[in-house]
Amino acid sequence: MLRVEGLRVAYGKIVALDGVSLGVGERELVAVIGANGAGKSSLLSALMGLVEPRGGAISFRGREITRFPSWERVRLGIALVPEGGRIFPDLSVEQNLRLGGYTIGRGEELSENLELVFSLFPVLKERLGQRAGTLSGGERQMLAIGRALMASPRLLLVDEVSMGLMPKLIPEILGTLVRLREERGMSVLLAEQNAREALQVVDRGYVLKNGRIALEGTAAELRENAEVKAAYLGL
Amino acid sequence: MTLGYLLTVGTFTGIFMILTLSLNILTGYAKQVSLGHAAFFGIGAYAAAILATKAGLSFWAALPCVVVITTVVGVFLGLPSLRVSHDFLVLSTIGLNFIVGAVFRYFPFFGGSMGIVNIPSPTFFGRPLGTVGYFGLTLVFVVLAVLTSLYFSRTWGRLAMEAAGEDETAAKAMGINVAKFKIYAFAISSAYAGIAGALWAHYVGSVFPENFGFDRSIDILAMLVLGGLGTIRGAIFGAFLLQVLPEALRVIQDYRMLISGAVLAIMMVFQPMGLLGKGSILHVGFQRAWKAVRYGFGRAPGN
Repeated sequence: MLRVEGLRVAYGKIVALDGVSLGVGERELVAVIGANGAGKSSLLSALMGLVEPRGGAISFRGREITRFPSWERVRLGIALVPEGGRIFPDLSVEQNLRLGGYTIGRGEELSENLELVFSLFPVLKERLGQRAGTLSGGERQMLAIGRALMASPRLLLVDEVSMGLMPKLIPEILGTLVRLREERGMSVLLAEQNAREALQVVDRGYVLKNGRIALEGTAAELRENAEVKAAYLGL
Repeated sequence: MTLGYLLTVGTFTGIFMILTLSLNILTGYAKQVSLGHAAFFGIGAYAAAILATKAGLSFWAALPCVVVITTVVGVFLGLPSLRVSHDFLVLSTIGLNFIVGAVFRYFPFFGGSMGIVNIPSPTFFGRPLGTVGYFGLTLVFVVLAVLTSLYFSRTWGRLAMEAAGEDETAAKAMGINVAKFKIYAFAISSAYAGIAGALWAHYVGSVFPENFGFDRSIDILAMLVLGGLGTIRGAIFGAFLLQVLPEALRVIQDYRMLISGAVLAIMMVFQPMGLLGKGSILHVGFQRAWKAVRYGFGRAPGN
């Protein structure tokens, strides 16, 4: 479904991604694991069209989208849960969700998506009229995921969803992503520092190191890999 | 105090209401702070003046041309807003104001510092519009500006721009075409500023470069900030207050710039949302009073 070939991203002279190739299949959960500054966020930003790549190609569902603007990618079915959620704090929870469904506009699909979000995160329904800035950290992350789901994505890009979350909430949020795959047939690309939790739920994974793919394999292979164990699992 | 005098004050107030409403679309809704709004006002006024005196067009024939010209110029001048960030946009709008002023002053085509005079007063079916008619005409455009603002504030544009104002990257990731809305806002805003300019030019009968200087931009912004940025009621109330008060109290007239500057500074510190803005003291007070009237004193909902 998603195919990335030799992607290069640089900010001035600083190279963030140096020829990254990876793929995400239909109904697949894939993790990109890496330390801070390894290039995870640059990768997701480039996939979303928020930074312009210096080279390489991105194709999505058979279409080359490397130079597409963000709004066209959202229309094609890519949605991003940005690092730290980046909800709109001064807008209400409802307005945040509506903005997520911006490309859908009004109508049935919007209310269906709203129902889906409420079924996944019932707490958001209670907070609908509240300013998003008053939500707790966990609720913000839920809102950020809910907001991305409003666009009816086929592929969900999730950036560091575990960051700043209470440890006990992490499996819950990751479990939601698994549910989305099972129930909605979505594909998920998960950028995570927290390799231990991520490798519990995904099918495959890539290890990103200094802007390059250092390793790839199934979740089980990566969990057993000596280097991953030492560097990311703390074993 | 004659009726004619009151209508004249009313007409000028109306022109400034159109200006504050148009600035509100750009700065209040689209979050693009402009300190050069008088430039758009001036371009409208000069376009109307030149079309009337040099091309011999009537007010009615010239008005659509003025709208087209100011819209195109607005879009063109809005383009830098796509590239530069907030603070730089403010600076570039100031620069724009000075450039436009200099063009008016130094190019003979625009009359130089002698300005353009003898702009005819509009006629309506062959008869001069008169003070009453002109006031009515201004009022029509105030209402149109209010309706346009209402429309803009209820479309996706408003919410999209508010989101983009808070976090442009996140807004882009939602699929919001931020650039498109910025350009819309610039286009609508400068079109209305242009209409205000045409109304001004034909009412006063002459235009001079100093009518549309940087201090005028400050005036317009002060009105909007005083009333309440991001609200229609605030734009109207602010223009009313800062336009009518100096008329009523002549002393204030001499200290106009001082007052506009002080209003901006004081409001930013104590009531950044303006007198009637959302969450301001007066707004909250009115809401409480309204609730009290509706539900009876001491029986407010929740008690």
